[in-house]
Amino acid sequence: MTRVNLVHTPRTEEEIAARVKAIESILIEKGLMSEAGVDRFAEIYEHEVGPKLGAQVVAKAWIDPDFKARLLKDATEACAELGIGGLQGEHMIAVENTPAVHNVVVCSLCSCYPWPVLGLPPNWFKSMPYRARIIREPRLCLKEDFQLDIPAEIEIRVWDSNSEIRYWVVPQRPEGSEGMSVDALAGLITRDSMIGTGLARTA
Amino acid sequence: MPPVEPTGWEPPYHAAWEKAAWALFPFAARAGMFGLDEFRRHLEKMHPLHYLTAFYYEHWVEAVERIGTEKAYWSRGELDKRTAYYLHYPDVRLPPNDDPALVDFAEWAVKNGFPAARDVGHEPKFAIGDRVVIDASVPRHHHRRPRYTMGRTGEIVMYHGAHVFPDTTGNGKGETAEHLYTVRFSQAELFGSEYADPNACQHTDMWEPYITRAQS
Repeated sequence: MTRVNLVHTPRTEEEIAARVKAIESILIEKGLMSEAGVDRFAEIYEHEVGPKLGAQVVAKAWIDPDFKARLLKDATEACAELGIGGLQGEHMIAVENTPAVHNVVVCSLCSCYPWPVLGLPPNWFKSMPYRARIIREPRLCLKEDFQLDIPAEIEIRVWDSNSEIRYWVVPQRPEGSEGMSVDALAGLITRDSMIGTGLARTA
Repeated sequence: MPPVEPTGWEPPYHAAWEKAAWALFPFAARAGMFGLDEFRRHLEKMHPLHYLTAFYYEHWVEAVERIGTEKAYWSRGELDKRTAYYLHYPDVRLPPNDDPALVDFAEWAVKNGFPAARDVGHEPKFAIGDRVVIDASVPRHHHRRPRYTMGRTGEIVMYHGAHVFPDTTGNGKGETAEHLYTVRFSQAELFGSEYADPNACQHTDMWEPYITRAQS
């Protein structure tokens, strides 16, 4: 009789942690890695690089039309003016939401995400349901999963980060935010509004 | 399709092992163990059930594990032995390494990144506004043509210069580069007008070898 093994037994989290430590220990002994190096990488994305940086860029674009024009023409260059850029943001394109167009970003192939402006991606962004659904039925996905109701007359543009181009969204400036400072405006700009699964907070 | 169930906020790392699993990628790349596309090719070798049910950074651990074994950075036996040891003694400290260059590398890599743009000696074949068809062949090697685009017709809306080409670079054939474009597809073209959102479109990046001019 043919034996068919259909059972998949995943590793426990303890087993994965031990595997990571085993690989790490070998690379450390070879002089290729260090605990201090790991800690520094981890710390940078915990405390220094995150969606607050993207929010600063968008807030500046909201109040400075020349900067906004430069941002929409070449986001990598415009962000570099503010000292923002680097790993996973080597080639960035910012797409603008308008009253007629709503943009949303995905990586259908893995997890690509503009780290310099948004930090490391949340797990849902990397999940199979998001990757499949935002491409197949974007309007329904935004409505049902993100409680973001985009009326049928507004065009939805989905951007797949399948190459090394990192797309992200410049949300619309909310009404009532006239006269607010850059810092106050930045406080309205959420991570999700720059992915396109949300809007900027109202003032 | 299943719901996304997004979280309003979540930490960058969910457990201490995720920090090291994540940093394995930049350090192994620094060591010359692999490049980004080669790393992705090995992620795709995972058993689909494992891939779909794994912790996210487990994918990265799997890829590093496979490449390191293949390229003899360690033997499977050695890795299993050490894994068993750390599983039994999870609090044992790692070996020391005080080399400041490894910490400097973290700063340098985050700030500079690794641009994928390259110069190539020939002009792009296509221009913005051209209608193109995406190659529908199904190669065994790693590539970056999402399945939903295969055989579909779209319009070039952006040109990005030449970028590293995953089909060679990721498959052990040395680095090459190809012109890169963004192609816009209507939802109707991708999924059929009966099943598509009439006011939504998809943008997907395509390297020149992935596309041919559409017959009008």
